[in-house]
Amino acid sequence: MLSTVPYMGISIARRNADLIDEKSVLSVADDMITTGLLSVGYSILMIGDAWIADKRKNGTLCCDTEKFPGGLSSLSKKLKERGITLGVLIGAGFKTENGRPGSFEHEYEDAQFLANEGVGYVACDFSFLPERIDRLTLIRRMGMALRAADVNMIYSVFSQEECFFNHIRSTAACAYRNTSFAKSAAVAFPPDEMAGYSASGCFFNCGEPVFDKSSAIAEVRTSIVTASLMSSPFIVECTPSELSEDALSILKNSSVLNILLDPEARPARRMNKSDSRVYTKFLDGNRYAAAFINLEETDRDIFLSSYDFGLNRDASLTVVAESVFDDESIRFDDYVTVNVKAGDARLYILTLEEADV
Amino acid sequence: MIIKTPLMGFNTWNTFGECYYDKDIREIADAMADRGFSDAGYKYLIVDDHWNMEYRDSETGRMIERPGKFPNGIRPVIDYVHSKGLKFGIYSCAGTRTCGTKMGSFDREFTDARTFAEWGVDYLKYDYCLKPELMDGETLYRRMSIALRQSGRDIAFAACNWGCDDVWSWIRAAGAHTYRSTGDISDNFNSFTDIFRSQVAKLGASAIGCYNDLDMLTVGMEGQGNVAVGDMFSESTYRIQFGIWCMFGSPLILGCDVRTVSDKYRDLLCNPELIAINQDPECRPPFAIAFDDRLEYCKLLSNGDYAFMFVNTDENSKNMSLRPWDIGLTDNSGYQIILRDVFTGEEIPVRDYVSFPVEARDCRIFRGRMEKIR
Repeated sequence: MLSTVPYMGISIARRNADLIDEKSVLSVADDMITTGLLSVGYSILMIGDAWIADKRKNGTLCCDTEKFPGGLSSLSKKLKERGITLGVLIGAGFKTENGRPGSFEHEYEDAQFLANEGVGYVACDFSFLPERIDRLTLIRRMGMALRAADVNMIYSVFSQEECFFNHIRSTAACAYRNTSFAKSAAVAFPPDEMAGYSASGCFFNCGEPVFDKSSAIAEVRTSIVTASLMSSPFIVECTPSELSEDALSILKNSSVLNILLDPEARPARRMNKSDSRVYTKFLDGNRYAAAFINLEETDRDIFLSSYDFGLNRDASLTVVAESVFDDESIRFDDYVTVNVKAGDARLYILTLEEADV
Repeated sequence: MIIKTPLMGFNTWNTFGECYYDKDIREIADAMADRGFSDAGYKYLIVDDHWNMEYRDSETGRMIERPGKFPNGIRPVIDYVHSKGLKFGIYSCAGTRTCGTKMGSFDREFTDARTFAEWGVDYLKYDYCLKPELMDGETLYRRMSIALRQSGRDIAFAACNWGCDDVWSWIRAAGAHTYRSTGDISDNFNSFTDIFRSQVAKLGASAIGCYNDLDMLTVGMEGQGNVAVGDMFSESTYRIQFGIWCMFGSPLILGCDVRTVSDKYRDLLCNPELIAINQDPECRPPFAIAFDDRLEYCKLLSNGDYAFMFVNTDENSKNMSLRPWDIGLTDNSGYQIILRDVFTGEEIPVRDYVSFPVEARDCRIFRGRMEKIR
C-alpha cells in the first residue's frame, strides 16, 4: 500500500473494552461527522482489539458477536457508508497487549479474515512473541499476509522494544512506532539522527495522543505540531464530542494539517540543541514551516537565525513568518526570537521575499 | 517539487571526464533521443565538472562558461537538449572551487541558482570538494536547496557529498532529491560491489522524494572512457551492476557513451522489467534475505509482487536457493510464489524451497507473484 502522506483518524482503542461495541463505535463515527473531524481528514476509526473473541474458530480469529452482532463486516459497511475506514489492532505474538488471541502462526488466515470483513487499517502489536524467532521476520510475515489478502491494506507496526529504523521500509509497513501507546497528550520525536528514515511510503509514527475534555490546549497544540513536523500518522484517542471547541479548532486547523499532509513529506530538522527546541521543515511550493517548542517548565525565548535556516548575504531575502494558530506575522532578515509559554508550541509558515537593500 | 521515482539520465563524467565540447553534448542528446534511451525513461542529460571558468564575471558575479568548450555560451546547448525532449543538468560544488578547481558556489548559492534557472537548467549535481573546513556541510546543502527552490524554476537537486557526515540522516530534511552515498565508481567489478555492499544497511533512508544514488553506471563502458581501472568487467558483471541499481532504487544515471555503446548493453539498460523494478511507485528498498554477506535480495513491489536478485560473485557457477519462509511465507499460508526470470521468462513455482544454478560472476533476477493454492 502506497501512503504518500500520513493517515489520520480517531481511536477508541484505550477505552475500557466493555465500553466498545457496535453502538458506541457508531456513536463515535457520528461524532467524527458532527464535529467536522472527518471532513478535514480524520478518516480512520481505530477500535483496538476489543472485538476479538476469546476463542479462534477453525484456526481464524473471530469477532465477539455479543458486542458486534453483525460482525466486523456489518460495522465496516456502516462506517464505509459514512466515509470512515475501520481500523483494528491485532497482535503478532501469542496474544495482543490486552490479552486477546494473537495471530502468531495464523497470520495468513487472520489477514484474509480482516480483508473479508472490510477492515482497511491494521495496527499490529509486536509483543508476547516467542524469543527464538527474529522479530523483523514476523513484521515481514504479517505484512506479506496482509498484502496477499488486500494489497491496499494500511499496515502500521507497533514495535516497542526495537523499531528497526533502517529496515522497516523494506517490509510492507506504512508506518512504525517505537513508543508504547501514549498515556497522555505527549507524542515523541524520533531521535534526531533517525528522522531521515521517515518518508512517504513508511512514516515514523510519533504516537497516538490521548485527549479528553480537560486536555490543556497547549498539549493539544504541541502534539499536532510535533506530528506535523515529522509527517507522522496522527490518530487521536478521544471521544470527539467531549473535546472543547478550542481543542477541536486546533485539530482541524487547515494550516497545521497542510503541514502534516504536505506532499513532499520531508522530516523537520532540529536547528538547536537545547530543550527549547526549534525545528524547520521544507514544504512543497517553496514554503517552509518553523516550530518553536518549549518542553521546559518556564516560558522561554527561542532563537532562530536565518543563516542556520539556510540563507546568507548572497540570498538577500527577508523571511516572512505567518503564525498558524493566531494572526501574528513576523519579518526578519537575520534572526528572530520567539517567546513560547511553558509546555506550548508556536508554529509558523515561512515564505521568502526579496529584501529591501 | 516531488520526484516520485528515482531519476534517470546520463552524466558526462564517466565517458568524457573534463574533455567534452558543445558538439559532444549535442551528439549525446541525439543518441539519447534516437537510440531509445529517452523512451525508456532516461531524460536528464547532465554536464559534470569543468564546464566553467576558475573565476566569476567581475561585474555580475556570475559563473562563466569555458569559451573553449562552449564558444557560443552554454545556453544554445541547453536549448538543443530541450528540443530533443530531454532535461538539462549542470554541475557545481558546495566549496569555493569544484573538484576540478573551477569556480564553486560557496557563498554565491543564490546568484548561481538564479543563473541556472535563467539558462533553463533542470538538475544540479552539487559536489563537496574544497569546502571551507570549518563550515557545516549540511547548512551548505540546505542553502543551495533553498536557493534552487527560490529560483522560480523546478530544478532537481542532486547532493554529492559521497556519504560523508551521516548524510542519510539529514539530506532529506535539507531538500535534496538524490544523494550520493559513496566515493566515485570505477569501471571495475570490485568497485561497484564495494559500493552496493556498503549501502545495504542504509537503504531504509532512501525513499520517495530523496534517493540514495549509488553513482553513475559503468555498464557497457568495457574499459573505455574516464573511469577505467583494470579489466574486471564483463556482460554478466554489468548485468549484476544494473540489477543492483534497479533493486536498490538508485537513480539510474548512465555513464557509458550512449552514442556508441553496443546494442546488447543498450537493451540491458533499457530493459523494461528491470526499469519497472527500479521505478516501482512504492520505492521500497530491498532487504537481504541471508544473514551473512551472501548477495540475495528481495524487494516488495506495489502491485503485491516481489522482486528477487541472487548474485554469484564466485569464479565458478553454483546453485543458489530460496526458502520463502525467510521472507514471510509460511507453510500454512495457502500460497506459493511463481518466480519468473526477467531475462529468460522461465517460470519456477516455489512453496518451501527452490534451488537454481547461477553462472560464475552472474546473477538471476526474478519477479515473483503470489498464487493461492488452497
